[in-house]
Amino acid sequence: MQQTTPRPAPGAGAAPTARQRRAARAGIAVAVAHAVVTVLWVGGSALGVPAATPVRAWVLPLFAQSWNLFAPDPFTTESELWVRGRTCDGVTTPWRSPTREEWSLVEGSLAPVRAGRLTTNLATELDRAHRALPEDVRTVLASDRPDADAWATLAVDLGVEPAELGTPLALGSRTGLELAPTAADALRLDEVAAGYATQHVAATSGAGPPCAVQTQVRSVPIRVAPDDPARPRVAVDLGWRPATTQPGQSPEAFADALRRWAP
Amino acid sequence: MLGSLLVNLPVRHHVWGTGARWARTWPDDDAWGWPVTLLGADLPRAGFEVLYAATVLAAAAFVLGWRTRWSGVALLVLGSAVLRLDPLAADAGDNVARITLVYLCLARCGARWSLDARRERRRRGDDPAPGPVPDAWVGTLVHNLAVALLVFQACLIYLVAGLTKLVGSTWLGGTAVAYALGDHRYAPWPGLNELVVGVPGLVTVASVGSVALQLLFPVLVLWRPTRALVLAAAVSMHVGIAVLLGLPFFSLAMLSLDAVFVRDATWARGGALLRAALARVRAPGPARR
Repeated sequence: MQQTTPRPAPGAGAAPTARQRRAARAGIAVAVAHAVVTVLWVGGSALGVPAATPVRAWVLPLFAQSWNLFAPDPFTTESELWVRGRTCDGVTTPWRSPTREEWSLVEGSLAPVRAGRLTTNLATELDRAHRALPEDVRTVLASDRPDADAWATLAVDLGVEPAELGTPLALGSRTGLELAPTAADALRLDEVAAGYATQHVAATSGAGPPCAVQTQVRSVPIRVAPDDPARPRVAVDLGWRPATTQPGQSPEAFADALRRWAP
Repeated sequence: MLGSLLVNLPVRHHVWGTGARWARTWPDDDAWGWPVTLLGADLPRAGFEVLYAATVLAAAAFVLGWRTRWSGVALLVLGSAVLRLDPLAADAGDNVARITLVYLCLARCGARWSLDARRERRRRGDDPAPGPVPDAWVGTLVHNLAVALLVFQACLIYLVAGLTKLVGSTWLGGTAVAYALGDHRYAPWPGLNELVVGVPGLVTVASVGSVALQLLFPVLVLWRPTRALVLAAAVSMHVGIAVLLGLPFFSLAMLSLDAVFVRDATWARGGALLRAALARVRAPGPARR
């Protein structure tokens, strides 16, 4: 990449005209302003300070960024998603971990596919949201709501206003939108998790689509020495939810792929 | 981006397509607007296939330098449309690639080592001097600003990555790399990672060394005498990340951004050496036949 003029412009060597000077000054001003706004966004995201609205409007979505990778410290625990389902006849399927199934996609691959990290990232988001919430909110989310109005009644019980559910859902670590998770965020992640569990149970249980599903995140310490204890802990415990399918979701497309690594 | 799209081809429907609509709360509510949102979560299976194929074609055209001005913009729009469909599948490499691409759309990517450059040479024939181009200085100005912003972005990434690690205790404490290497989602070769963690002192050197490299990168890369050294260190770090953490496309994106620090003359010398080597390989061929 060239760091100087790539090709002599006509009249190169001659003194720039007044118009060229003005354009150069304006261009430099725009570039510097853009750089300053970018620094404000990245700095705010690193310090956990929400960006001012004009900064946000300029940066998102094209210049969304966050560079606190593995910082301040790398994860010292791994979050595993665990799901199970209940058929309409009341048969409960055994707990399975889609996360552990996805690890087989990473192992032995020079260029792992992105399907190998989907549920670790979902579990990490759930864990992050729940860790930020008080015990009483988590207790409400742990209660069983297997009926269709599950998230409406949970919203009422948690005091979440409908307007709060319409704002973009913050996602840790990549966009720089690392705002403190709210009860509304946890509620929406709860519904995403139920949507994922519905697909996974339908694809793997052999008992057909479930009527209700349940999700947990189990947190396991990363072993850095052979004698490290690795005791899993249930970090997120969500009650039974109704099976839920988002518009446009194709259970076949989900299952076709999953069959390759989760027989 | 091309590599990542091709590697994920077999799982595209599961990760971004109609198998991934359980995650549609993100694309339904994010900050993207027209024209990217036209190609959103409502696309049926066939529409998604067309979007994915078009993105691969745009990426290939941009890599080969074919109509770079337009293939770059097309790749930016189409690539963003695919990747936003499931942010749970995203990694920091996507941010590096997208932001770099925005700046590259403003730069003269077709000026060297590209099909565009070859076409321009053929059009001009033997006449090496380009005819008078009115207002070419506007393109030059925009190109130089874009290159300056690429330099700024690269320095910002390293500096922030280094500074935020100072807040934690494991990086300067010398254990951080062991935790990163023990994470299953970043361990394609767990046996190799255990081996690396087992070498006495290596984890400490790698943990402290990567923070030092990231913090000092902006200073050392802008100062000519240390530039080659710090770039070599960055290449080694990213090769390590690519192999041990299984993030080859993140590493490639960072290395392409770092390539902005290599001077025009150095690239030309590298190209000449490569051509000479190729000529030496080819030359004995006919003689042996």
